[in-house]
Amino acid sequence: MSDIEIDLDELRRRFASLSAEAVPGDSCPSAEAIWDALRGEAPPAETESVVAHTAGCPTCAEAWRLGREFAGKGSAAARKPLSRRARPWATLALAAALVLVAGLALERSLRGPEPIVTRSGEESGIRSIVPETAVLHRQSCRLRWSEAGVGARYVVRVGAEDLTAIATSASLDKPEYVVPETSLEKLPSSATIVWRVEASLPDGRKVASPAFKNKVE
Amino acid sequence: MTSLTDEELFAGLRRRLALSVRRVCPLWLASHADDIVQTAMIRILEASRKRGEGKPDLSSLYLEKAVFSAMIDEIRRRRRRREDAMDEASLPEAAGSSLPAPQAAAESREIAEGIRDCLGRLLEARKIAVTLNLLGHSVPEIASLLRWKAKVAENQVYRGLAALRQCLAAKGLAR
Repeated sequence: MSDIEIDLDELRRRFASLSAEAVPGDSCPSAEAIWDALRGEAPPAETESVVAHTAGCPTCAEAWRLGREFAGKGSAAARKPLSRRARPWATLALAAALVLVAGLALERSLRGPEPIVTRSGEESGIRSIVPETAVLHRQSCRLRWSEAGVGARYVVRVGAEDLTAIATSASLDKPEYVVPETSLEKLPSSATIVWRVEASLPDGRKVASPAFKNKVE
Repeated sequence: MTSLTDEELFAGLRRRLALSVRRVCPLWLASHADDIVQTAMIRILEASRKRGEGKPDLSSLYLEKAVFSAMIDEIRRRRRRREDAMDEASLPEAAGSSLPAPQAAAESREIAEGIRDCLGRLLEARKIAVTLNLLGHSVPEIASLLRWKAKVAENQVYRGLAALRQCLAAKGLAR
């Protein structure tokens, strides 16, 4: 027997890992059907049908995770109609929620962005080490980020603000990448570049960073 | 007040779609982000034309759904054609000690396949509850999505997870 003890996070990661090489079948539900199901807008029977399919279809599981990123966690719960019994409390609850949301919004604006969660449900530890306000030199446009783990290797993709691809690194063993000067030639002065890092860990897992932005002189 | 010209409307729509795509586009698909934006834009305008409306629906939710559909269709198309194989291959090829050992990779794959197989063997309600849980949903979210009582959802998730672990243990994939 394997000596591996699998907790819930590990189960989720392993389940998500099936998606990397998956090929969709002919019976996959439409993207719209997946969207409606995960937002709680489909009838329960339809949702069950989509989820039952997803259990055995890593491509649709990947679509579902992607949809969750769009919709935000808990969106379906937030959209659930209130039962009759709950209605008398609805006004008070709504008022309390508004106060709470206002407080959270203020706190969040002071605290900065939420931690990034990847499609596999794990928190991405990759952070840019280049200050957001730093203006990078074209001759030495060095992007640096925090390490994702021991033995991690990285691929960096750099694009313009309109998503035009500028450069993609080779597989890197250090958390830094210098964007070739020639790749930046077509950018106007003070242009913004958008860059993301994807790390592959020795155990096969992949962790993606959020998109970082920096200006180039 | 002056109304937006079509050109301004389309430019604004395109900008919002591009932002939406950039927010969630998988890295391996990033070089095709423009195609996804274009596809979503065409679908939105086409839907508007079919409804006989002059201006497209610009609600955030509608735009997100259009982007999601375009992105999933693009992912499926590329996976079917296995065009993504090259992108995947460009990711870290293990070198020396930093690479996963072939045995570890094979074991990892075997466990993942084991989870899929064991999921398929669960009773239907448990399969659905556990699948949603593995996709990252909490018990209250599962109850809400499936219009189940919270206790039912909790029961199905925990019993389902126990059965899943038992199945994996029986296969020798976990202890």
